[in-house]
Amino acid sequence: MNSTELPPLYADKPASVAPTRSWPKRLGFYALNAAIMFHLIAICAAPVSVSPASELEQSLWVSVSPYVQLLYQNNGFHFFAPNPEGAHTVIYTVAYEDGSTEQGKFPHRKIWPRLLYHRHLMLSESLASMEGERRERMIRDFAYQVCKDHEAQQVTLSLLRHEIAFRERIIAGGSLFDEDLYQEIPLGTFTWADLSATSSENSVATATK
Amino acid sequence: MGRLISHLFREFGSHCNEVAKAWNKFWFTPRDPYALCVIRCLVGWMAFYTILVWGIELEAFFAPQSYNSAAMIQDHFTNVEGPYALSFWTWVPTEWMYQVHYLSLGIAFCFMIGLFTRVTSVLTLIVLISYAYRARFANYGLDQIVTILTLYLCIGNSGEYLSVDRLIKRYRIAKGKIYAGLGLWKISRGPTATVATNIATRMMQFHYCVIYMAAGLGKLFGETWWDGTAMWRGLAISEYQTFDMTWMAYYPWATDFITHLTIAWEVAFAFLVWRPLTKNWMLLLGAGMHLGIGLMLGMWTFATCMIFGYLSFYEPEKVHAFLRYFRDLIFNSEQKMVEVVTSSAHSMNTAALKKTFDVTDRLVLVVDGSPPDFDQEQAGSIHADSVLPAISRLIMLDHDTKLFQKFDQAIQKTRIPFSCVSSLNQLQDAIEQSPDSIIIANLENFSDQEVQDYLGSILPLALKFYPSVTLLRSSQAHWLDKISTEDYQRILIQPCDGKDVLAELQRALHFYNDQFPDVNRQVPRSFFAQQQAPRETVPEPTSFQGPIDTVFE
Repeated sequence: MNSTELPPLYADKPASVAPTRSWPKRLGFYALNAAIMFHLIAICAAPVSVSPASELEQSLWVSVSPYVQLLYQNNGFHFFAPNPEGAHTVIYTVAYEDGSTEQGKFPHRKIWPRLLYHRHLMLSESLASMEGERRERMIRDFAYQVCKDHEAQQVTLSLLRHEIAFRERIIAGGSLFDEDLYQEIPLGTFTWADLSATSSENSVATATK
Repeated sequence: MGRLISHLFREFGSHCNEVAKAWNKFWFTPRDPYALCVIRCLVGWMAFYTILVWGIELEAFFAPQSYNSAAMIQDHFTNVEGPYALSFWTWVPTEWMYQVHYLSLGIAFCFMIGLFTRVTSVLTLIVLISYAYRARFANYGLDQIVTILTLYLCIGNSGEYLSVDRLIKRYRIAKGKIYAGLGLWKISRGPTATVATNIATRMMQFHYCVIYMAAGLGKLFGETWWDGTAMWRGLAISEYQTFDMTWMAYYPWATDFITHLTIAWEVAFAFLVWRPLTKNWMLLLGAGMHLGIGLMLGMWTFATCMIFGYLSFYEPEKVHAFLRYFRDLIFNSEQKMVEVVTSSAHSMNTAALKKTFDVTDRLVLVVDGSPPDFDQEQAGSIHADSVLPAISRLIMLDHDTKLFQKFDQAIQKTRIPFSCVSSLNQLQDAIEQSPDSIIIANLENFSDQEVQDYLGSILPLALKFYPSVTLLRSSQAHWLDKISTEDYQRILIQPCDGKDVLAELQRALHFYNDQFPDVNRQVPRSFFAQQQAPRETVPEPTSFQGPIDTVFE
């Protein structure tokens, strides 16, 4: 049924905002259309620019990134892609002033609610995916936070990678928690004195920026 | 050659015109914001909960020196992501952290309950973005989807229903009416369908398609999504597990099947969710997948939040009808209560407050000392059967008169002249004889062709002055998508019993009133002409100010 076939009452009530009448309205209508188009392109640009991406996709991303970044729409949505991989846990040993030590890790099952557990899991996963200087800075930040939480004098950090057990292993009597599935990557030992000094420098640097 | 080119140009122009029409219809057809308001309540709760949980370890995540120091984050944005990732946490001094956090919680709470929604929706978006960027390396899908949905809730009119804003409006209207010495039985909305709501809804739908398409295509790079082991790998990550799913290793066909189904569903979603035949299946599969993620991987927040957005794929009227069913189960709206309001300020304010929260419109307010044409006896006798708004004749189309027999008695109580026809031709004749009639069409036993004829030819005629109630079989509902009726004509009622028909008729009238408040003022004319005075002496529609009135905002 077209609107032209409708009784006059309905024909007089347009279902859409048509670009008619005064030029400011017409201009506004075109601007609205352009904005919609731009937004649609922008939200597509983030996922398509995930590597591997063509030069066209990359340049599209560069063009729209200020907009999508401002609105936090810059997500690739590649959940569990390309493959679900093993998880990472940060394990630490803290040493107190009296010489005693304590071991711990994050994330751990006692973190509640579950949302907070996932926040910690994302931290360790982010660290695992990082490289270079930023990784080193993140490790120092983790060390600082662990020391601060435990009021410890020293902390030794490691990243524990837990590989996924294949189905065949389980059927053959193995477990998800077999020792050979774990790989410990040492991250370093840090003293509170060193960390707090760096922290002050960082604070000053941040304030200056 | 010239003719061919000119023909091609003409065809191309015609095609472009059709595309433009379809584009305009898709984006700029006004839409009622009910579904968006329900999403606001749910997403608002999720935003509030997310911020609440951040508060448990606020300093560990948001202090300048924390799991991710401010300097490190700033460096990351400057050198890697880009400088436009702004967060107010950059400027919050340590000693003000908790105050800012509580303020953020308050904003999200106001957004959830729909208080100053226009403002608090934007503020909540700013809060969510700020939290997400400051704790950039502790983010995951939940933060992304909450922000996406909130962005679109800022665009649409998400505070129109189910909100404190709405209650405030109701109170003002009720108070205004009562202080003006007028009675009140229903506070109806003015036109609520807006283009902005439609744009927000369409963008939400489109964004979901982008999300699932990206997720699906991203997975296609991985060999485990091809060899079928991906789902097992997901279930075998003990750090994610809620339950021990190791037993699934003995049923490889099951994990293989779920793996392939996931990929097929994610890639197909963007194409099939728009088709009426497959839409529900796509959404059902999606809900199943997300609930599975919630159950197996413990990501309940992310899973439920993704499902919240699915409401945008449903017509607001359907969402409304679904929730109204539960509302009616809780609040018995059958019995009307009449309350006489005295002229004291306290009585009037109390009555206005009561009416504000009377969402089922059970309470009829009668103001003491009302205008002389007020009929106390009539007001006192108001009950469920007589609250149908003014109509001069009711015509029922019923193939085998089964439905007619079901609620014949109920219709008799309304004292509305009533007739029953059994074919489309008879119905057309009846409409031509009595154009200002309400039509109740039971199409359950009609053929597809007849349904198409009805929807295409007779329904527009029937809708000329009054709304129409159309009963369809579920299998016939797809006709509504095939014909290009506008949303406001789609008063679709699924098969229901006689009692529901009355309720749906009322709903249809209210819906009609909302859409055409100006036209609606003509509605009482014929009714009063019939009930009170000859047609010639009927007052102008706008002068109808009965003490018991339906108020339009």
